[in-house]
Amino acid sequence: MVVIVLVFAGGYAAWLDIRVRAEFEGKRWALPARVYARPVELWPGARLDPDALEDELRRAGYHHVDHPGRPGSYRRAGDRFVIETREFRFWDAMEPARRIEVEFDAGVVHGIDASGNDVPIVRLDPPLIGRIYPHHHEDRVMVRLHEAPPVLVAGLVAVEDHRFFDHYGISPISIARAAWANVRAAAVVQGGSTLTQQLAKNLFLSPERTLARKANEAVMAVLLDARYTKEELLEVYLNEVYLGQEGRRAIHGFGLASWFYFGRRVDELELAEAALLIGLARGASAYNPWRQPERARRRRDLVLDVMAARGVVGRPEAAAAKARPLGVRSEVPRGASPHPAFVDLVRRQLSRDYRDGDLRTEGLRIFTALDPFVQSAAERMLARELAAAERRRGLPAGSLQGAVLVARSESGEVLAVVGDRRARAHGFNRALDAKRPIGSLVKPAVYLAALERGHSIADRVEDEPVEVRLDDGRRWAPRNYDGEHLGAMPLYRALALSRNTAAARLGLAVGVPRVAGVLERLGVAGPVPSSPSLLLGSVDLSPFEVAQVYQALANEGFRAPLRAIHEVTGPEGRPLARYGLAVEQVADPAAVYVLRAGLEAVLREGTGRSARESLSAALHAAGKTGTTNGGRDSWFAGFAGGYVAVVWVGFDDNRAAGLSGSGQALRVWAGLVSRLPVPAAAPAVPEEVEWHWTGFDGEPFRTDLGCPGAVRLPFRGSARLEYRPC
Amino acid sequence: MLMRVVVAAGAAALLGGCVTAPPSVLPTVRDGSLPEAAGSTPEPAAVRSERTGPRVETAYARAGIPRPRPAEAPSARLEKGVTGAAPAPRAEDGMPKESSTRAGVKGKTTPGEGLAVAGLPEEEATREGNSAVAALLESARAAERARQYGRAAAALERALKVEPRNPRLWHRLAAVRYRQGRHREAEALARRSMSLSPADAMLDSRNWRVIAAARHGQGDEEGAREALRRANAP
Repeated sequence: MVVIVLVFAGGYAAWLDIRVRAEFEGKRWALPARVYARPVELWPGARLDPDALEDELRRAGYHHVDHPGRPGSYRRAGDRFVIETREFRFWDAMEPARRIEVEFDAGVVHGIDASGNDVPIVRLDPPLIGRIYPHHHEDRVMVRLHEAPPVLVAGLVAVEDHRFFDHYGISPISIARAAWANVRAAAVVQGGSTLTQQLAKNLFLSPERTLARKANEAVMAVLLDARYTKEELLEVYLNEVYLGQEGRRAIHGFGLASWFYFGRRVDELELAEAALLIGLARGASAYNPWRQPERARRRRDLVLDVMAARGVVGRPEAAAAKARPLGVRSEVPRGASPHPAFVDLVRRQLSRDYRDGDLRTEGLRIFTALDPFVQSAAERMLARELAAAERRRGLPAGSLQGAVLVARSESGEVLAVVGDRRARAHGFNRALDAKRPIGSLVKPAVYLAALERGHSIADRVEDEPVEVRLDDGRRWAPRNYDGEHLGAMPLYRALALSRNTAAARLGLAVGVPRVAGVLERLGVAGPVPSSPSLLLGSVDLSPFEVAQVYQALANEGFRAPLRAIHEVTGPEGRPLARYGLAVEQVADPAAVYVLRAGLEAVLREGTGRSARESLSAALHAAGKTGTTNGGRDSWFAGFAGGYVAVVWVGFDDNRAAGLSGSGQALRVWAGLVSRLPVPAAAPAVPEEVEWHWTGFDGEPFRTDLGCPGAVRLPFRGSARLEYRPC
Repeated sequence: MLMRVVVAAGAAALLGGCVTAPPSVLPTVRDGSLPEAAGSTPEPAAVRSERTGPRVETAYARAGIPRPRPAEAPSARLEKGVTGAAPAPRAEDGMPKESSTRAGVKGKTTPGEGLAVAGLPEEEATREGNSAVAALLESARAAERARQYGRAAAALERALKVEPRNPRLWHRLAAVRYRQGRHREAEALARRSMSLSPADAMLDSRNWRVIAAARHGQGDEEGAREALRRANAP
């Protein structure tokens, strides 16, 4: 009989053992991918507003204090900052934690000093801008046992299971002692479960309270204890324990909880903070410091008493910690990304290389190009201008929609993506998915094709009616926006004024397939249909695709693929992949340079001139308006000072509402660009380009400064212009 | 109590002093298909040359810049990861080694021969004397000496954030890409460098050397000779 029982029990234990090993060793923490913005880099001479730096520090969770001591704190006095930076492992190197002093002078970093030495460049730890969650929305930040502050670990053991290091997984003595303590205190102050039992419960068992479950829990705890070291069990416990909830997001482990409640890394925790977190292990909801601050404080103080009684801390330290406020963040931090449209782009670019499951659970760290300053400026400007446009036009509030994409023109790094006027809204990402006819945004491709064919920007084009018979027998007879025809004019002027019949004539003369070819070279995923209506933009593109085309124009004919991601590392900083800077020459730089003069004229004297006041001439801003039939879409795409930005405004139901590129989209664009930290620099003149004062008499001729009607225009060296004095 | 003894006995019998491994929490990332990420983007320039026609050719010639060379599409290229079915070689620093450096140039013949790319003079790339750029260039050089080209490229890209239009930085990045065996990218970056340095014959010559070596590495001997001729032009 005894033998039978033994065999049966042994078999059952063996089965449980298999389960324990499978679960525990196969345990892959479901770690969400963490998405970081670009790090702030400071160097002497960097253009940065001190207020913008302070915003960045707050975003990265730095605390403003009078005497910065802990990493992650700073002090500001006017234009001087003292910053205790955090250690951070980047893809290529470790940035050490250090104390730096940064001084600004008129919006420029004047000097950086680290303990008496000048520092050439400092990279701050980047703000977290989003997570890509596992399907069950479990969130955690992995902590190694040796990374956790000793007082946290010792305190946890002292409070939850002080015989942890002595027992075999279960502890009858503890159960009895806990029962006695609870009776004495007339409250549940101690639990009878060991840490190992709690772990077994969390890892393997359902939450129902039955005797059978209790027994299984005990057996599994013994098995766990036999199989694994106390340190391994403790480390898993530190990361598994449930410590809070924010919406659908479950806060697991001390690593995340210290961020969640205090905005600090776990190794930055002070005694009072550690004690609060230890207290939450018993009941994260009951002791929620935001909703039950008084209960949370009592629980924390009890934890501190126990820690002092068990010799983890001295009584004076415990007393001092009890005098501290709870110190939690002023409000519950949101787990949802503040910039979902950008994170959406990140996810798509990663999905080419990573499976969805890996992305959600492998704890990848994704370093992106997002510039929080540019992103928030774009969000604000879109929301503000759409509301203003609705008021002006008597449209129902909230009816207009829009999208913005900003990239760096030299490198193709995507700095900002706004896919909805409510920037935090998840859902339809218009910056990537709203494919709309681009209208006149296509015209730079028409003019570039002409310039590449040897035209000059001063050549004459007729703004007169034009009609062609299409292959299918229909006739195509484009009209101008204003219904008028202005006759002969130089190319740059026809581009600046966005004359449709002039562009159609020019494009037909150059050849529609050539225009399609230019678009494909600049970055439109082909094939672009070569129908004459292409010349007026009857091709549907998303703001993202338009931005790629204009990036190549902004970058003197060198296309840099738009990329949101710089690097991907594993959870502990191991480099996995890098998306490096690459360019491809797709157009002749001299032709693109000359074209740019026409695009600057758009904002100086053309359809974009209404923005002239808000844009400094030193910016050399260049761009193009786009309007589609019936005013369904309002576009503006352009570039200035190293940024390329595209704005689309319209209705989701595609209704004709009399919008225009020179109206809504341009206002957003100009408002945004005028707020960016843009160095004032004229684009470099290519070797084979010369500027001439140019007069027009049917045909262009070279003349002198001050001659009536003369304008200064760039010509490629090949252009032969007759000289005529005035 | 009996239960505990039984279980402990059963467990002890079963486990018998096995050595256990700590729980694995390190994920692995699949990357078997990484390089294909580049395949889905549009064809660039020259592939479409039949459409754009011979006149574009003259436009480039007139501009003094040879046409972009036929090549695969540029895209947000993913540099190689380190795990997966076909692990890429790793440098000692644990950085993913971005493609093998099969273009070690040594021992090659003709146009590649004598190219200064293998030992480009490490001249001051920051004329303005920006200390951040100087520091980053120094780390790039150190990384290059250690043959950690991924790290060198990362430092140069940081420097380009400080001075995005510094042609010498673009030139150095071109040289690093060449060392990484990424010849087509090396040539494009060298062109970018030249487009930013209109009147710098010395730098032009260096860039033409990178282009010559890159073309040689791609098996384009004629193109390499032409680039070398330009590099040596007075």
